[in-house]
Amino acid sequence: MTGKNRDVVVTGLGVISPIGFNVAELLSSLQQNRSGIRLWESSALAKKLPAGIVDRDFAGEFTKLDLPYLDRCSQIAILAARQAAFDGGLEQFAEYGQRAGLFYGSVGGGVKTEHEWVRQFYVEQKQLSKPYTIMACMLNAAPAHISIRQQILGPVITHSSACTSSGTAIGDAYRAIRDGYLDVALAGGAEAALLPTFVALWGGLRALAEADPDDVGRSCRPFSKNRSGLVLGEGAVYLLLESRDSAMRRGASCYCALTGYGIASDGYHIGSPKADGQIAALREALRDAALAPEQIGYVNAHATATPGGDPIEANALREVLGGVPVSSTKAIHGHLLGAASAMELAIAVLAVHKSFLPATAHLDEIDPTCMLNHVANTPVFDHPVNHALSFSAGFGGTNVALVVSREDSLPGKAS
Amino acid sequence: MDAVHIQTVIKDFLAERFDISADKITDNTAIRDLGLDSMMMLEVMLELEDRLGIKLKDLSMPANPMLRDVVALVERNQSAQKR
Repeated sequence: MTGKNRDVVVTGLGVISPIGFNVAELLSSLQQNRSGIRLWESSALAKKLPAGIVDRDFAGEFTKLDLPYLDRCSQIAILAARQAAFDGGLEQFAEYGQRAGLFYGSVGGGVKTEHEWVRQFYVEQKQLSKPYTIMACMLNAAPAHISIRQQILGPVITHSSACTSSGTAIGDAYRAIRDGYLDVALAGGAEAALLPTFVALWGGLRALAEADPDDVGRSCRPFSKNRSGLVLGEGAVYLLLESRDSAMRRGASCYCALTGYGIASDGYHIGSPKADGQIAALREALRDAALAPEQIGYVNAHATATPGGDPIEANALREVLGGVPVSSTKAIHGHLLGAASAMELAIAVLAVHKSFLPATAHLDEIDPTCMLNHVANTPVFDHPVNHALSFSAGFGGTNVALVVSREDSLPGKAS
Repeated sequence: MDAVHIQTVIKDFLAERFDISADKITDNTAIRDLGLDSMMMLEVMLELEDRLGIKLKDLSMPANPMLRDVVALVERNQSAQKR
């Protein structure tokens, strides 16, 4: 242990998402409000649906000796984690011994591999899978591969709390560094489950948005009066977190500091959110960051664009944060499930780092039950953000709020 | 089925599945040196069963098997089946 209550800084970001395959592309899409929602289709499903698609096959990034173990989810997780480490000036973590950790969130893990095996079992009557299948589909496959590749030798932990999975992962990484257990951690999440079987599960919930007939890119409309549901997405996002002392020692630059984490559960219903739990998480994050509500300059909301969820969240945000500017960038990247919290925290990081307010796209008519200080349709530039908050709420009732703050004691990132 | 045929089947599969060029493999090449782990070896065995139409009951091999050990294993199982 080297002391408790240490400051935690964000020294690297890695992104593979529907709106960018790196930080620069993500920033450009946010600033131009460029939608990554496209029409997704499968020969097995009659209906075509909008989805936040990562339109690239990454198998070519790996050897054929690697691939048997690597579901698409692991592939993008490995690449995003490597990006975040490189962005932070690190490649290998062995020198940190057990003081480097990896915290990962996912809902489905190797869904593609698992569902393909189920098909082989029932349709082809195969009695045994390939030897690797179990290791390719297990939920902790991706972080295990990252740990092996980048020699992360401390805790390697998988979180799964639905849409807050990567948020709790980042929160626990932050606490481990703050409390002196670790010096550095990669924290984030990944999801790659755009498969007919998985999409149809969400269809069964009657929670998915219809494709906008004029422009599929406008199909996800959080807080809008004419929203029609959530849009599933895929992607992987990682943050490199470390103690300020560790970053200073190695002369690293940083995006900002991670200053607050609040987690609270509804204890109410498996699929319906409750404002009380959300309010508790938001208040805890503010308390942890030692900030008053009015000091928060931007909130990236969870807002999945479901009819029931958005008004409850708007209530909670109003109750705790009053008139703070709010947006839901899911309008352009969709719901990344296990990677959602990490994606949206990365966007909050960029809001602080680049002094702008990302917008909620397609918010032409605000639902009166979702009244907030909306950043509607157009990002606000040259707008200093000293503190930003990212909020997520998951099925099962876990709520997470994370706060990032401007950091002036370390050199800022050039990009 | 002679040893050369068995070798060819193994080399073809290693090329198809793992991108390992046949000219990298000799009788004395250790399978581990090609980058294959124990689960990949298991897949090679299962594939040999399918491609050669045999059942491998005796899977015993030296600790760090070479290609010739795999060929010998197949031949041993074949002759056991004939008996």
